[in-house]
Amino acid sequence: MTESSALAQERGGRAESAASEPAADPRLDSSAIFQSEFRHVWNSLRRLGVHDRDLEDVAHEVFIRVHAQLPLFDRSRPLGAWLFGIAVGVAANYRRLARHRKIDLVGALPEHADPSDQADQGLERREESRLVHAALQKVPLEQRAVLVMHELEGYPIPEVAVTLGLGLNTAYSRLRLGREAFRTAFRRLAGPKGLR
Amino acid sequence: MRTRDDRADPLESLRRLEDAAPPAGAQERVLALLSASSFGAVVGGGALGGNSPLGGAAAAVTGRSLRQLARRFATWSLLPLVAGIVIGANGRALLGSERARQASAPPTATAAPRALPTAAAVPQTSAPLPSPTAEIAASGVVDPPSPSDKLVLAPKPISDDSLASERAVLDRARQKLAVSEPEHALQFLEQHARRYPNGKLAEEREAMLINVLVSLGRVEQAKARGAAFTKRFPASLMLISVKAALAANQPE
Repeated sequence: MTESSALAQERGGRAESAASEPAADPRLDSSAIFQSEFRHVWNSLRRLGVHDRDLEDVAHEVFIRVHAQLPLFDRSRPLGAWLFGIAVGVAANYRRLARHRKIDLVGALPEHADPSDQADQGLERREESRLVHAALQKVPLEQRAVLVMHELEGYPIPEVAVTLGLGLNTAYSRLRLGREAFRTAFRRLAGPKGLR
Repeated sequence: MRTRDDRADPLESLRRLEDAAPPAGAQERVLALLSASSFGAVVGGGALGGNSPLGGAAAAVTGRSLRQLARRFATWSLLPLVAGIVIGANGRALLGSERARQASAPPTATAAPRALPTAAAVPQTSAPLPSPTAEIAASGVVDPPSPSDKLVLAPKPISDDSLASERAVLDRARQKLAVSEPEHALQFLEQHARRYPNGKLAEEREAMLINVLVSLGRVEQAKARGAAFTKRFPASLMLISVKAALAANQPE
């Protein structure tokens, strides 16, 4: 079966199930969100500066909030964007608390970048991934949130602004500053000869 | 004037970054934590406990590593005022979860605090979103890289990078489809079309795009894309699914 046909079946299956059980047990949907979005939330939190050793606890916190705020979720908006906004809030709190605990977030992350990928990624890609993560940690969180959401998650800036509660001009400004901060950090970490 | 730095724009590396799989067992351990909290009435003790494959895993993890989880979680959860102050109103959820965890009473299905949106209803919108291409172009935010915008990496075929980058974008589109967000999937597919109009995965992208357009009710666009797909990839294995998607929307 091709990927595309699998997608078609998947889409068709969802549409069918949605039509046949519109009032299904609503609790299933919290579990569906958890199952489908866990990986996304996990990666978002890493990019937002949560240390590997705290990821499970912080992800737990995110889904606690998801549960609490789900009734307020505007269904016309992308679920992924909403989750990312929650992850940003939890990550910000985590980092504030981490400062009290004197955790060196910046120094800690690159050591553990993408451990699960190491088996099937080439050395250069692992190094690139490590550098990206390390450079991201150098970008102030408020800029990083915009940068990641737009450049990596693919959301247009108006959606980013709504999700993060920013004015449009502020979002554009943070994107510009975040890009520059990321470029600067990446090049400094990579050295004058790139990744070599 | 293009500089050497322009050719190796680090943003390209950022855009290439792929989602990493969480460590084995991480999802189950978080689920176990959730199952022990007020959330557990919804996720662990309720829905997943019954018919989800994760339900059994959660129970197993809860029994096997509860002590370990408690030790690790204490570090985080007993931080000054348990974040109740810093997260404001949302702190109630956390504190509630702490109380539920301490109570150790097994969550019951009837403890589900409130009705939640259905999965099918979560991200669906009836009206098509404005074209991300036009929106982003108007904003001037995205500078689509030229084909020469490659990061200078150690000796390695450039095509590997390109393919991985393409794959990363399509993977994100696929993830959005998997959570019933065709509008957002469309954004990634259009992003792919902008960056790699003739990329190695153009065939796959176009097939996905047609399916997404159909699911969004943009049938005329899907048909036009379908005709172009047939012409461009006459021997494609994906033709079957493309035709099936289009046929499913034909009037009886």
